[in-house]
Amino acid sequence: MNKTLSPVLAACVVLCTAISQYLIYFHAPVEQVLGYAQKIFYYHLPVAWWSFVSFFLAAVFGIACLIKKEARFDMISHACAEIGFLLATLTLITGSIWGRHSWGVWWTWDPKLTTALVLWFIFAAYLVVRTMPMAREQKSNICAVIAVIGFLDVPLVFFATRLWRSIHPAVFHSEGGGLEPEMVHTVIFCVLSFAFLWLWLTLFRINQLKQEHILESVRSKLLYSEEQNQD
Amino acid sequence: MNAVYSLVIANIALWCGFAFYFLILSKKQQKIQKQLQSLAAQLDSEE
Repeated sequence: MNKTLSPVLAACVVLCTAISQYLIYFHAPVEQVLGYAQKIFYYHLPVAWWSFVSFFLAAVFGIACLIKKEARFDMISHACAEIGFLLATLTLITGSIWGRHSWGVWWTWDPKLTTALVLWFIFAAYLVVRTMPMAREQKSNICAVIAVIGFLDVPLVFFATRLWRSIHPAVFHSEGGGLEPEMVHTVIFCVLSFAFLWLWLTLFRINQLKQEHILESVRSKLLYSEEQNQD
Repeated sequence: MNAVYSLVIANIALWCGFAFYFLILSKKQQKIQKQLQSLAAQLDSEE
């Protein structure tokens, strides 16, 4: 990552996080039925949306890698899938805590939750494949295919509440009784705030993968030259 | 479960998740730096 960009992004992350915390606790009104537990929504929704963006980019760069066979696309896809997996995990955890309060259970086999869990397992498999010992090109091809298959589940998760009967609320969908303006401001700011965090983590990880790639190629060149010298 | 308690737990879980991932990335970065240094030393000795 650019050396000047990193501190700027980090500063944006800290500042936006502080403002979003203020908005969550002091600006957004307390919901009448769920009380303070409803405020979990301001974390749950942004992490879920950014996980979808990550999986989308993982699939797009996976396809680019399959077509162009370039390592840089594979690295971007890898970084996005990894961060998407982290965000999907946090979505499931925060959702589970919210569900325990509002539904009385940690987990229920609701269509939205089930499709989200399937998505989580697909990208867990993706990360397992990443750790397997195999040729780099073969690994990137398999991972690209898994990323594309995984992304196919994203629209199902997003539209699950509209497609099937679900107890999960459909955000920005219900006519009347929707969100208060203060709640909308807060959730929009939280989505933007998590954007900085997402961008910073993604760029950091891409940069790290590039360094690993350079190390690997220099090492293999050294090994090759050593073998040549011995012959 | 109490509403405030749920909110606090969710908040802590979220930031702990990010902190844990950041810790993993930092460890990896340290490892890469060490490998880069040893590789640079190896290249210097060969020259």
